[in-house]
Amino acid sequence: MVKRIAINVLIFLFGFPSAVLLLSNISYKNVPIWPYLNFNMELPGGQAHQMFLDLHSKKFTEADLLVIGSSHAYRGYDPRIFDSAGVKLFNMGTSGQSIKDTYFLLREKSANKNKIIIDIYPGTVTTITDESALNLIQNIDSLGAAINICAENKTLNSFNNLLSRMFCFRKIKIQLDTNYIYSGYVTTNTFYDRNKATLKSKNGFFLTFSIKEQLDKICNYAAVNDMCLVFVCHPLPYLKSNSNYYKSFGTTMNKYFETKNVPFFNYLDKLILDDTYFQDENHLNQKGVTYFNKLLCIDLKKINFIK
Amino acid sequence: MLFNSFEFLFVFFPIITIVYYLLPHTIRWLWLLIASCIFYMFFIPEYILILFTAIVIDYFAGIYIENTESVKKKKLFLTVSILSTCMILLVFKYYNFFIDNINALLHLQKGSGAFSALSLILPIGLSFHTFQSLSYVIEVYRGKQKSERHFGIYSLYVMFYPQLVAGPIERPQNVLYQFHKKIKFSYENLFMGLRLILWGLFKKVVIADSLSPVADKIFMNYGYYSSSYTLYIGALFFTIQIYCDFSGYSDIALGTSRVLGINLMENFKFPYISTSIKEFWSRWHISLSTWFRDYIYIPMGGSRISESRTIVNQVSVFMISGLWHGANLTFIFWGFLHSCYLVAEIFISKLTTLFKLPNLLKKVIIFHLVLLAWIFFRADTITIGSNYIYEMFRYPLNFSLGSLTNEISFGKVFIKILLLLFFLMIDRRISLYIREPDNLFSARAGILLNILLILLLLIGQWTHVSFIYFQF
Repeated sequence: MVKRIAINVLIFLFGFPSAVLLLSNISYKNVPIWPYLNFNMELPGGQAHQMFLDLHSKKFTEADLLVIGSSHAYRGYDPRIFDSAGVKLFNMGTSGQSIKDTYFLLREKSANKNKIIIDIYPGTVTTITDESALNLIQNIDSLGAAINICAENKTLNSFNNLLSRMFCFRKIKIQLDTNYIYSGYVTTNTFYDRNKATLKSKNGFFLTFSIKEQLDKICNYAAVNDMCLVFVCHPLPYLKSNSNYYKSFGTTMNKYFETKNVPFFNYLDKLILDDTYFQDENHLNQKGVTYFNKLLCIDLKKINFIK
Repeated sequence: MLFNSFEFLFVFFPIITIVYYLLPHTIRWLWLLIASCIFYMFFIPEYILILFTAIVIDYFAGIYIENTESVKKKKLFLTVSILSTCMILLVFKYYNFFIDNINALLHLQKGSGAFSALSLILPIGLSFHTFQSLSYVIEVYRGKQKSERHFGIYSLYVMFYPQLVAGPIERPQNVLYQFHKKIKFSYENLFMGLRLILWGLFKKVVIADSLSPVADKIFMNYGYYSSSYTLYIGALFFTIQIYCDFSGYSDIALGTSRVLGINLMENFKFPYISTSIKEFWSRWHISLSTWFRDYIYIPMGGSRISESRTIVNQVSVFMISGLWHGANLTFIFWGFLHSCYLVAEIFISKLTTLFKLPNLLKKVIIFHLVLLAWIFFRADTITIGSNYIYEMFRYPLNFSLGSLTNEISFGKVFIKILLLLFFLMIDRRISLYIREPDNLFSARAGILLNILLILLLLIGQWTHVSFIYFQF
């Protein structure tokens, strides 16, 4: 029996890497077959890929303001508008970025920039998913950073994404985001239609212990490294039944940031815009971004965050 | 705690098993009971009190039924036990459903005389453990099972963690004696159990969970895809998903229990190869269908009464079975549809003695009848289910995937179809093969299990999606 078990272990030790090599290198139309078989496998490409390329350009080195957050960030802060206000902005938002990954990027990729905007919304401070970690593992500019994300995330999905990045020896097709502008920003000109995607009511906002722990880490890291942090929540399409939820979010987060002595600009219930300012139920479109960014610049100037 | 979570697979299950075998036989029941309580309390801790209430009621009912000589008193204790156990089910699972329907029927509005609903969360697996508890008192009443005097062992019978939240719904004769028996560690139990767990996980994590995102998308937005082909794929994927999800759970339950040296009943026998609806129900969720047969259908007269009464009984039992699944008209309709199939089958079988259909064709027909019924099971309302079927037959010649490809690439859907067909080909062979103790250490089994394990690790959807039947 022991011999049989040993043989099985050997079969596994040979079979597993072989399967990884096959799944990473057999491709259909220059795309590996692994993502076809597993929905949790990401492909390098898209906004994150372009943003990490820009990270090595003058756009990043010259930037004096960094935005970190989810797609709300990379679709919500236009460097061109900040340019016209005399501020060089770099947008480090990535798709579905969790607060845990925000802390990672702040720590590893902020290059000691001392003015940081962290975009949050009720979604980011209620759940931590590994969607953004998988996207980062595939797209982040160094393998070492990808390994670190995987080590911090400790999920099989992260591990598989790391393996596919490490053992894919074929040239694969990188899909780029055609709406990418520069410095991480992606623009959209479409309008939100409630009939196609209905807004869902939410209730019972609650800041969990694990999220609070990550927020603490972010605030403490900034304090130790002399970084000026501002948390911002941009407006979302209005739904009457969500007003209590948003109020509860605002009150909880205000209370939290007061204890940390960090400014928090919450436009969720302060700025009510109609649907023509949004591209979908979560994101501003270019019209919305222009309006919101101009307003934000004024507010940031008021607290001397920017000049 | 889910069977497909790391905390179960790598922490809870190994610790429970190792300590179980290290402890002396006399206190193992206590260890398993503690483990089962912890397992249950991972969901909503305070709901363990509900479970405890049902256990206490049926434990004493069993003793009283056995101790009393008078048939009248026996009946009284049985009735009290059944009513109080069903009352728990009624309050937590069906109260709001009945209230909502009464309000709708009487056109009562909130705040103007409408009956108010309760804000209760359904305790996980409530329908499963209440039915298991009921089977005990009924068997004691029938004299087929002696009442269990050991309160701890009886509690374990209801709460045994591998089958606590989604069955199989066991009979006391099959399980109770095993908790008393001295069980020695055996490699056969260990490896047979692990094989079952691996196969169950494969069905859940590799097949069911990779089909579910596509099925969910199609069912949620069925109105947008003007393509019969897309809607058929949605229904097909759900049909395979629910089978893999539930039979996968059952295999993991059987496997974890087998590792502990306890054998549970088989719950599935490849239902999709059935050549009749009757056969389908002898292969699908066996522990529930035999429960309804033994405790409801046969006491109603079974098939020993007139044909018309038999039909009425069958329709009623199937509708109750539908209601057991969930407090929604869709489930009742699903049960009703199956009863219609069954009745139709009885009449057709009389007519078609002259021309026999080939078995393969029968299998295809039965599979698609079951698929149509699953649409109602999956839909939120009967209207949505009917619309789905209407849309599915509306564009019979449109073979494109329609706007689905805007959300999921054609390649991904195509690969899932291949995966599904591959699974249907291997399911029976592998299920039978891994249950065969003769090949426990064969080279072929080793290679097969390695392939399953590697696929599980590399293409499994480790997003901890809950099991569909947990909601019941």
